Amino acid sequence: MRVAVRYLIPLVAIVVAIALWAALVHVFAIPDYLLPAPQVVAARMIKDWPVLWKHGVYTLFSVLTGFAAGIAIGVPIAFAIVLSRSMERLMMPFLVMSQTIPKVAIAPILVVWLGFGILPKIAIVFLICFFPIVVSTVVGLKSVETDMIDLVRAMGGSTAKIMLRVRAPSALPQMFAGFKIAVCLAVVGAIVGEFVGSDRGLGYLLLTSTGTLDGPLVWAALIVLIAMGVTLFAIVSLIERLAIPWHVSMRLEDVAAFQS
Amino acid sequence: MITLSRRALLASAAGLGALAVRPADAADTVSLRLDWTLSGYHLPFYWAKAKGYYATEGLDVDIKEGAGSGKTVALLAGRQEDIGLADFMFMAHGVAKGMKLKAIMGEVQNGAWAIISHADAPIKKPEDLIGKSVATTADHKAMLDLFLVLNKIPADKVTAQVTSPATRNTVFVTGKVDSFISVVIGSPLDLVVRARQGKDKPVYFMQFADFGISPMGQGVFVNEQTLAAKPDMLRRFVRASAHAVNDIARPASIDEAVDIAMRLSGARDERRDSVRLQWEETIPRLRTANTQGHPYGWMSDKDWAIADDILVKTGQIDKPIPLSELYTNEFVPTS
Repeated sequence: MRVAVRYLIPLVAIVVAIALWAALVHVFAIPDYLLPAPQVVAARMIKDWPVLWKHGVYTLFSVLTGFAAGIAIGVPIAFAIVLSRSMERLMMPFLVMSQTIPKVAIAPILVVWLGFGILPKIAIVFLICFFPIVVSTVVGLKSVETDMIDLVRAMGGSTAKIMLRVRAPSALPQMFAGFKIAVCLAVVGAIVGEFVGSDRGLGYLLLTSTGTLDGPLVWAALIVLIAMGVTLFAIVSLIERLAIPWHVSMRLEDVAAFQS
Repeated sequence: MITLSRRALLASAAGLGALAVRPADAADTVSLRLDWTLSGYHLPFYWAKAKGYYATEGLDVDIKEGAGSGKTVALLAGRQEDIGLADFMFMAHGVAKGMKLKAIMGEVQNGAWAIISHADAPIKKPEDLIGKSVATTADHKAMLDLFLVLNKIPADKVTAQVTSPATRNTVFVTGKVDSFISVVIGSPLDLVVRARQGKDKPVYFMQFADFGISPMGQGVFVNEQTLAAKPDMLRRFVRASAHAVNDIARPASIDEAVDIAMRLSGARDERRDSVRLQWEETIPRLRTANTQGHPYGWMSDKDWAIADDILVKTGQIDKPIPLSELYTNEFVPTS
């Protein structure tokens, strides 16, 4: 019963939203280039599935690569920041600056530097993911109870051991919160990169179909993008569940995914 | 109730009367949305404003810059502006997609498309494109596809890089692509001026017209609803604008026209030379072989049929749009 309600409510909500969408288009006779009806978009998705797949895979690749780079570089930097006060003073201004630069503004520069390949897209995804990963990891590592650290230190634990055995595990919930934000932003980053210069990817498909006023294809690409973002978010959530089953957010049943 | 409605009737009747015999000082406020930031072919509209041609016609025209023909067409489709200036190919494409738009005054009657490459590695004929890369903005890609199709160049032999408008010329200048596709009378002439000043390398233009492709270019269009509601306003607007085209198509007025447009649009001063060159290159394109002998702004069925045919050949539309749905000459002054 409970499970049924859990999945039924969002399902009903989505169905109602799609029905409303269809009704709106029908009643106001909205032309295709503004907002195509859902059945038109669905038909287009079926017809152009190979195209959407080809471009989707390309975009997914830059999303995943950039996101992985964000974790691979962001997490060690967060550790360094927590371990050393001077490291924090050195890194923080650059981190904040890197975040305040509008990615849309530097994307054209990255294309000029790195060319049209997949590199500038990965670079933008990385830049956009990096900050939430670092910040949430730093906050997580720092928010461990000091009593616990004192205890381990009193028992002869080294700084490295404290880091790995005490700080890191207790930081995981915060880190995953950051990863979840980052993975959604990553999709945005990949599209920004493709908007500036590309010959494939969903961003390219969006641009060219908008250019030819092909509303159904625009929306088909958007839906694939949404599906990609939601799936990536769900995967990160699943990994989180497996990694920290002990955390309070995971033990509460029926807790909404974004609340952790 | 009866008195109220009668009063309302009287008031609206008075309103209509006031419209018909509107005093000269109560000018109609009209918005004109251009396609881009200042380009040479915008000069007539600034000239008409500065010279008081619009004011004489009882119009207060607010000239606004644009961010691409596609956006201007969308704004007009949503009636966010009264009058638009955009590439007619985009407008026609919008009409095919259900937008209620109509061209009322042709300006650049020959689209003047070209592939622009570096003069030291020129792309002189369609075959030269094989193995090369071409930067294109998203909305110009269809024109590139058409050029390749008509010249029997396999699309997979040419790398089309879709770029944002702001990036296109930069990636070309920095050598990230071999060439780009554009309308000649726009920003490519900025590159020509920069080359003349020794700032960049010279460029080579492969004009589509030399290979049999000359679609419609920029012109004035409106929403069908505006056309039905304010035909008189449009007639006055076109009359004043055509007057301005007549004035500055003469070489003697070009300097002054450039000055006026630079001042009114607030364009950066270093663009002056290229704006001038853009207008000089526009003048021979104000008429085609099919519109010779007609007043500026007049459009011909033949030219529109070519444009229609191009849209069909590029697969942008399924069947030709009836020409009467695309344009009308009824607002163009006959003398």
